[in-house]
Amino acid sequence: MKKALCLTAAIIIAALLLIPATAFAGDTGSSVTGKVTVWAWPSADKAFDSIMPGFKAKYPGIDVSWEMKPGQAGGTRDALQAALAAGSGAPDVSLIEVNDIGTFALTDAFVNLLDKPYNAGKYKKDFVGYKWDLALSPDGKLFAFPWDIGPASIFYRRDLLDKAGVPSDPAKLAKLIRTWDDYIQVGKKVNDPKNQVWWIDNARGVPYIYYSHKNFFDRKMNVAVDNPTTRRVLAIAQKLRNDGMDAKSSAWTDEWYTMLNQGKIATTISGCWFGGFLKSWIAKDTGGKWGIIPVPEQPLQNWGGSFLAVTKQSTNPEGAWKFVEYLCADAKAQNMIMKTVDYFPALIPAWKDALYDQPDPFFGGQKTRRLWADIASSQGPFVVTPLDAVAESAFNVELDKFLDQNLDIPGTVKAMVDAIDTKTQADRKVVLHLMGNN
Amino acid sequence: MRDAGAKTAVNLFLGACSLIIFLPFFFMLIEATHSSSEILQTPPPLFPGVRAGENYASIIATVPFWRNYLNSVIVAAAITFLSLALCSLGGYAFAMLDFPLKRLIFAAILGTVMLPWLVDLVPWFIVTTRLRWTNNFLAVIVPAAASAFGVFWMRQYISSTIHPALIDAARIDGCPEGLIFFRIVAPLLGPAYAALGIMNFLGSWNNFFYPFLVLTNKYMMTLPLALNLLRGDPYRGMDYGVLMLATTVALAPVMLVFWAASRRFIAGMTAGAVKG
Amino acid sequence: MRRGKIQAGRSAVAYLYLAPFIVLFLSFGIFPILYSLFLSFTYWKGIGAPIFVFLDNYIATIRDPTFFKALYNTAYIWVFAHILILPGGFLIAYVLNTAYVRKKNLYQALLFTPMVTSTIAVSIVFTTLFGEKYGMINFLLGGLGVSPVAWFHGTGSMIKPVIIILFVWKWIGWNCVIYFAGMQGIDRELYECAEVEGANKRDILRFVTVPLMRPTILYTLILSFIGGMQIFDEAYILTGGGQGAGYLGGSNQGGLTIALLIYEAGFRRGAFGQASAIAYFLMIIIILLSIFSFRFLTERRESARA
Repeated sequence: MKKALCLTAAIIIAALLLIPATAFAGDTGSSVTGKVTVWAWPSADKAFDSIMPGFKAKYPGIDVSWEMKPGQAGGTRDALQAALAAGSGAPDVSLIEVNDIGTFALTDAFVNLLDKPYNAGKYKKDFVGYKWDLALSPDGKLFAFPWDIGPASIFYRRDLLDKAGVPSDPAKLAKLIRTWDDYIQVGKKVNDPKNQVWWIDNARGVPYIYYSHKNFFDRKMNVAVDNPTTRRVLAIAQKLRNDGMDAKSSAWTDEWYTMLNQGKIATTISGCWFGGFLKSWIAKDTGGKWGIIPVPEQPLQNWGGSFLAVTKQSTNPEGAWKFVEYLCADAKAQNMIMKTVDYFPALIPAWKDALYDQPDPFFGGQKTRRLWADIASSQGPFVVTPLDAVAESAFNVELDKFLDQNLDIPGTVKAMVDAIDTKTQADRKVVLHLMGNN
Repeated sequence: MRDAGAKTAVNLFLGACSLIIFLPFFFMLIEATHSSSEILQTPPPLFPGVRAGENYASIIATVPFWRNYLNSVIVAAAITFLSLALCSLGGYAFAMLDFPLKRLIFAAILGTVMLPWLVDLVPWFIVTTRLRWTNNFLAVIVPAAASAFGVFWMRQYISSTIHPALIDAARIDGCPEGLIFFRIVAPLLGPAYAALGIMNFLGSWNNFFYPFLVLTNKYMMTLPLALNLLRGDPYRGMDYGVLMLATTVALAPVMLVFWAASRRFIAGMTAGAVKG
Repeated sequence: MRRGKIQAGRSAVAYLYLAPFIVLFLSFGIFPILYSLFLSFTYWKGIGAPIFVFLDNYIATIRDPTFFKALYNTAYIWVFAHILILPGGFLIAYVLNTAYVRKKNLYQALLFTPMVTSTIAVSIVFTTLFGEKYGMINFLLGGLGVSPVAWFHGTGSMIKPVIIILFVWKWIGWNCVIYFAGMQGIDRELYECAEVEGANKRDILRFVTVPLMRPTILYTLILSFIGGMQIFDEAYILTGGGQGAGYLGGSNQGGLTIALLIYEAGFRRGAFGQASAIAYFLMIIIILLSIFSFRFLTERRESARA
């Protein structure tokens, strides 16, 4: 009897010793090891650096290395496309900008993160709805994971408004500008071309923000640009242009940067990341002179943002996912990134942090982050498709023509619809086909 | 003294033309020594400044400039060498030897000279990426080596310069058929090699579009690609001083080499277009 | 018998010499043309199998207004550039050819310099030269009392002139050198004959020089046409590489060339089939126009003789 008990005990102990300790690790993640390579563009490297200590603590076995691709988002996309077409050379993870997300949606070259063992579906409720939708392919696969968004607002110069006798306090101004007509009324007081002050940098900004990677199509992939909203914003833009209220300055040109710096532009509509640009290099010395208010009539606006995607070529998709998951779905990591490089999280729980209620001295003490978080969670039409980038390109051509040549609205709307239709014809069939299989 | 008047007028005219041609280089040189903020003012700087050092530091910090230079040299040299070898061998075969279907094959090759290279772009990209030659010089070198124009031109040159009697004499002397080219013909092709070589080298040196598609790693980029990269991020603005310095450094050596041997260069690059 | 063997031996050598060239030429010269044709009938994004769509890509190209815009732009640039280059180059060559000029080689070298430069580098220089607020050109124009021109922005109608200026700046030396060489090849006796017949300088130019230069001019023109219809570098750089505005070709796509369109279709949108179709369209246009102009110009010559 004693011998049998001893033997049994010995066998059990031996068996316990032989089973690798990692089998007991469960879902702590320390079981996942290996290398993970990432392609991105600056300032993502600073972002990665900032979260590495936390990541290493959680997943000591995963070794992440990254390569900043030349040519920013465009260069990274080109390199990624070449690697995907070649069938080799792609990294485990790649950063993809919202402009390019559509192109990659149709390639089926990325891991579906809804599958096991990633189970990313559990995060759906934590992310801004429109952002999550962008990461879905037409046949319902989550081929990328949301990182940051660009809630858009009107940036304005308090000092220019003060000079014209318009209240520059954001709360008051927002109440004053509830519609685009209000916007024009207020603008008339501030606009003073003789003294080199213009109300808006470029009238195209108004229609542009309405169609910034969204709402070109309806859920059946029909071109949806012919609607009353379009006509309204085109009319507003035309009025701004014809009444001499816009500086006709093209964004991202030297003239534009100079005008912003020299206080010649009273308002401009842009994504939240624009604040970072102003602070760091466009208008460094204008601290305290800015404020933001939501876009009137339709506050839910977005410009920009990016995603991280795991390629099917990856030899370590689990490790890659752990990296992506940690960076994008961990509120602490997201806020660390926010603090470091100003990328606004698409992760809703991250906004609970006190960080978002800090007043920003550059914006005269305004709690800009809270406002952007509110904007991102507001409601409104937001239909996104993989073909938005191409549609946006065609849309922009017609929009610029409309303003520069003072064309009529019905003709322009028709031209926009036709241009978008022609450019996306072949791809729409594919998207519908994929949607049908969903 | 009408002649003297005409002479002055003519030389003045040509001088003016030359000056206008050189104006862009002049301004480029001046702006290369200024910082971007100095350039972005009215009036723009008309005299050299002192910021060349800073601009240079910016260039080096953004792209591995000298490495890109080396890449350009390697790629151009490889294409030139390969192309000259292939085209001279082929040209000799068409010019001096007889074989079945010769006329047909040559006509087919000649036919493609008139076809636009844009048609080749997508196929070359797909083939070279499938061969895993992305960011490998082979992607740029191999497709460019078999030049239809090159073999056409070599054939022209060989058939008009080398007398068949020379070949026959070599055969009678017992020289093996396979070595005739290397022993007899090739040494006589100096001028042809020079002309076609210059054309190939320069063509490759300045080539942008196709290399731009297959060389995406900045350490593998050639000079034009590196210059394109220096144009920078639209959301960060362009640093003009840096750009101008980079273009100066990129253009200067080529121009200097050109002036040292301008006649050769011109002869080479206009080869085939000038009758006689 | 022996002769046949020798012939076979020589043929073998010939094939051997040709082999490396033919192998590469078939792979990268002939195959691409056929593969491109094949792709033009498909919908393909580079991954998976191409889907056969018959003529859809061609129809889409025809239905696309930007295709015709690109065609118009490309042709416009080429035509106007040559309106300047042909007479200009000819004039300079003519002047160079006279006895008044001693340093012929020097001038040739100076004028030819742009030909050895990288188009990308020069395009970048031109971007700064033609800057709206701070560019040298607008500054010089201001000195002449002309208000600054929005070369790249506004309606985009000035983009093509900049490209044309760049093109002329680069290629006039080439044309000049070729014409010069052609003129130098004209037998002096012909000139003397004409003078004896009572012809003045202008007549000599019209009836001796130009007709004898015709083949040279024609050849240069056709080559230049094929090349000019495919310009990419200048258009790409001068229109900012499609950044900022979000579309290629600059303001109102005034600088959109066919090559840019192919780049956009194939490498921005990843539509390899569409890009191939556009390229094939271009090829057909080039071939037809080359044949047509060649026929037309040789016919004229023959009717002139009759």
